[in-house]
Amino acid sequence: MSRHATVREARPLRPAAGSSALRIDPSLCDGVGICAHLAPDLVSVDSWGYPILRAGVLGSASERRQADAAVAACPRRALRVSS
Amino acid sequence: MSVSLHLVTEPGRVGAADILATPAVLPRHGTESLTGVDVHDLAAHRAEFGLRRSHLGAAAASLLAAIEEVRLTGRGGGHFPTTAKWRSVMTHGAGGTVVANGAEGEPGSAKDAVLLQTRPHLVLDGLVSSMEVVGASDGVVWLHDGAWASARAVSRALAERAAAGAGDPQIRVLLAPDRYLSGEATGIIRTLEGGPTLPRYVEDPARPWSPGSRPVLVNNVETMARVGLLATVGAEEYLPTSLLTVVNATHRVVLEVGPGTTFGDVVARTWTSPDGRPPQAVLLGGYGGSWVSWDDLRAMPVDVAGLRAAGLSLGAGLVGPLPASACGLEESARLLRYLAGQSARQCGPCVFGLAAVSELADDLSAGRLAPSGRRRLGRFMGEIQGRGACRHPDGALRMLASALVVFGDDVRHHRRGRTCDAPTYAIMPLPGED
Amino acid sequence: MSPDTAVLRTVGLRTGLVLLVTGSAALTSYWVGLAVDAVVGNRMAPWILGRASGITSYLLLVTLVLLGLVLSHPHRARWRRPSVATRIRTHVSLSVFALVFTVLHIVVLATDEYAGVGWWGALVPMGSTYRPLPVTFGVVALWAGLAAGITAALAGRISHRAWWPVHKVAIVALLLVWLHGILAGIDTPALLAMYVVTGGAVVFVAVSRYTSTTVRSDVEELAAVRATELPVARVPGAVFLPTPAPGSAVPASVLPEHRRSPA
Repeated sequence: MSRHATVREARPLRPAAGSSALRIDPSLCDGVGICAHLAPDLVSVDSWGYPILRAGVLGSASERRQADAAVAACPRRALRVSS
Repeated sequence: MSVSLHLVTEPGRVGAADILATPAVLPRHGTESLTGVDVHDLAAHRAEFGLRRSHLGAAAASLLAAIEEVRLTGRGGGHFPTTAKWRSVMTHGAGGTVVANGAEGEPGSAKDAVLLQTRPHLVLDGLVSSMEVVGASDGVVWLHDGAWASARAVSRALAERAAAGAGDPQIRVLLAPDRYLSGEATGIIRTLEGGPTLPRYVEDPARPWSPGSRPVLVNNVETMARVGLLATVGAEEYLPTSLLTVVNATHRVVLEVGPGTTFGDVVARTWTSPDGRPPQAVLLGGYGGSWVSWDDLRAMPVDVAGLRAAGLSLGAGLVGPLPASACGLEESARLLRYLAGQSARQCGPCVFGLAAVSELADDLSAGRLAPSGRRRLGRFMGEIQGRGACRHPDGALRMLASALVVFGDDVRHHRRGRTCDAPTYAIMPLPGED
Repeated sequence: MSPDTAVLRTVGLRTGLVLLVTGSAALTSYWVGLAVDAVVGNRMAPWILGRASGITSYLLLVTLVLLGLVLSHPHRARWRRPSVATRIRTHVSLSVFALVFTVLHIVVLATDEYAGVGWWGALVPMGSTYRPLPVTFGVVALWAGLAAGITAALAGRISHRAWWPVHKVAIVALLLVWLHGILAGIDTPALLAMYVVTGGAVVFVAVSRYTSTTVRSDVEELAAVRATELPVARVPGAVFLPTPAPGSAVPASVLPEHRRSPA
């Protein structure tokens, strides 16, 4: 079986349960971009301005601060920090 | 239409546990006129499969054990272990809803419609049994609006059961908007909670209902029929068969095959080649499934576990052979255009990303994809992957990614500014055609 | 890109913007200074500086609002360059410069004893003896603009997205600034032309931004089609189906029994 293409089944939107993580509901997101501005270490944007989670799981205090800022600023309430 | 059909199961394995005795033939579009399979009314159903055993209370464990023994997986396309979903619902208490999902979104697939029209009581037995096991009080049969024949078969079967005093719990028939994504489980749950029939983002896939809402279990109707089978004949007599829909130029065939049957057998007996040659590849699972080259697939058995070991999935059971005289890239671009148009338009990566990828695939198919376009195609596919609320964009990308590998020679040909000018085209049925 | 490179890029971008904006501000001030000097002479220097900083501030605000409208335009996902990150950074940088030149404009005119505005007139509506109504437009615009800018700068720190609705007053602030300029800031026909052209551009982009169909309206259209319940009577023979939508072809064979033979 050498010719099967398999698209990598990465789910950056759904980090492992149990860890504190930034999550984005893509169905609420309108690609305003404020999250990428306020949390540059956690969020980048795709070719259409919609957020890509670089790191879902929040390690450092600075990441936690950035995540909280992005959550508070999102006008669409599309972000959440889950514990 | 004259097609000769044979039952594709191994000799000696045809037993009382088979769901369909013979293959069904349907037109290329729609599921309203079906031939080849006898319709089971309640009497015929009971004569064939026997009476459904109750699985209330302590008996629930025996059905769960039977489902686990035969390793039943979700036949809507996901193929997750069925009891994993059930156990999750059971931990959230009684009084929930169980949905038998018959809103077959795949335009090519017709196995769910065949089941509902010819074996409605098997599906309803499964629905009632699963309600008993998980302690649900509300039962739903979920269909596409416009699937008149299925709706009629289900409502007639419900009336028969009521008249016979089957003692079923409350079962409703809901008609979903007639679109590709209406069978998406999160959209069904959203509808039951009073929302629109559109997929939604679920943080914990094991608990797809809203906090504070009653739990909802959604199972495909084929999964339900298999549960019904296990609830009547038990695991000992159960055969781990699969229902497939084979797409032909003029019609479709729905048949049940045993795990020893190879795809080579299935295609040889149910597919008429338009050019007299074997297919070059098969679209397996659905339009969001994978292309597999005929050389790879021919000798493989139709077996869920075996396919998974090979990195493939039976998906919703669609088998779409691509004639040797057709262009796989052209067909893939065509299907991708359809899938992009069927987006629920909620998530940016799906709305904009899938549309952009579809345009680039059209360019590739037309032999006008510049090197910069090739790089963009690769980047876009990487950016979109895994970023929708549902798996719709992932499925579309999976299909395209498999096409780029399986039709690799065509990709090189098209890159040089040429096209195939294939004499055979528009292989898979799409709504609104013809 | 490593974090260090990203920071360097940001710093470089902002420094470039500082130089660009300062340069254009200096040029504008110089040009206006020359024009006014030719007419009235050097003792009007504070007044000239007030004019120059006012015009610069106005042009920065127009650019700022235009970029803001582009940032929130329903079609923004189709424009790939400049990237969203660059758009937002530029928007933020422009707001800082607009604030700097507005402050310069206010300080100069409030401290110019010949101007007849004073601190009271520069900061309180209807507090100016010199052309009270046009100056009031400017004063109200200042406070509205500050509200839009400060809440946005604090987005992420103040609670619950207050910045987003407040931010929309920026367009009102720009309208007031425009009136302020039209009524009290026109010395030459060229300036009138500038106000007309820039005002027209903002109106055009704003109309496009607020009337373009969004992806959300597509979703609403899809969401409006609801699932329906099939009425199922629990009596054999009495089997109901919904009436098919007018025009949809339903073969006679699939119509329910009671529609075919009303026995």
